[in-house]
Amino acid sequence: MSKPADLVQGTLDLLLLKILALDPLHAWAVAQRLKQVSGDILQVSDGSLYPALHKLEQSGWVTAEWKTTEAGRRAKFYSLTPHGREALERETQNWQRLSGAIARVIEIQEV
Amino acid sequence: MRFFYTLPLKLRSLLRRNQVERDLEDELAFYLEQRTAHEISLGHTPEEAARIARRALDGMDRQKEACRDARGTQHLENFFADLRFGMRAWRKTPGIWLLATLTLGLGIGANSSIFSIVEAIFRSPLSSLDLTRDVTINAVQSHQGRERAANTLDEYRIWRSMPAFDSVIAYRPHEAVATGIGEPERVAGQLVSPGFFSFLSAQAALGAFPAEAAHLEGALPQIVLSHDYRRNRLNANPAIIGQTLRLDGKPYAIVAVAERDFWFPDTRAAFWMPLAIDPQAHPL
Repeated sequence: MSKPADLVQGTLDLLLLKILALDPLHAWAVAQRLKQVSGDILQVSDGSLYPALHKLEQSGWVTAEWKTTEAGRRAKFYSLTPHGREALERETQNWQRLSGAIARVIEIQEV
Repeated sequence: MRFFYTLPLKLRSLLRRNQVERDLEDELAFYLEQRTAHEISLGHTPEEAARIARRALDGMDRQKEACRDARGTQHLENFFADLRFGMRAWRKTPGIWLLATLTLGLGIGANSSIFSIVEAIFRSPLSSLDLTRDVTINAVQSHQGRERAANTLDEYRIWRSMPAFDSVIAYRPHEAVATGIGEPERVAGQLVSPGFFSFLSAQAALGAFPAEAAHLEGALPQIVLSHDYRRNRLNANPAIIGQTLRLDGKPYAIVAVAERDFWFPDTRAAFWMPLAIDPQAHPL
């Protein structure tokens, strides 16, 4: 199974939760949205997207529902659960703590 | 709790496995359609586009396997697969299955019989005790560099009056020579305080355990016999209650015989006698 090598471990969950917090989406749209919002920098390999979404679903953080798309095709739409919102908040704080710490390290001025 | 939220999903994965698999198939098919259409819009031929889409999923079968792993029910599914395999193997070779079952059955049976025997031999009188609350108290005296228990009746009286203890019993080994039944014989027993038998939840097989008054100085000497002693030395005479046993030449009225399973503090104790307590010095 391919893992997104350029994503820090664990951040894929955070990104997926955040994207789904805005809108219930099917997996394909999640990938598109992620690419679009991140300015093409973050590209989740489609191969790792589905297992990640299914894991979130089994963890109770997202829930899935079969709905019809605008084009009239049945698709599995994922949306956030209350547990997912809590997880998103937690993961966001973790990420901010971590990235803040890294930022402080790399901004040290050489003397 | 999240557990109760995710439980139905796990159950669904297990019990509606076909439905879940169909859903997965549909979901991935939908992806392939979208991705193919997307690649075509980028200028690829339909064949190329379909190939790119399939490759993006690292192959359908691997993709499905990865999604099944994500369900977290794989272990159970594997277990059931093993079970099914076992059933098939059993149907093919019922003889081996029978042999294995017999071996297990005999093994378990032999084990439990041995445990029953051992349990009967080393039966515990302590089953009535609450090991989280019951304690042994010992006053210790140093004697020529060795410590030995040196409990006195005074200490027993103090411990009895302490609110820390619900009840306190005392017992002391006592040996005497029994006469009047065959050869004179040295027997080991215990002098026991009031409340001794009820504390240990002992039952009398015959008669009744001595009352508190029997512990008073000058009371008529009474004795309780163990089941084994009565059976081995007194021929299991049922009319034994009220008879007299001579110990060290003194007559003791037999008031009770303990039930078969009762022994304390060790299995050698052939009798128990009321510990005489001066009512003035040791109010009961």
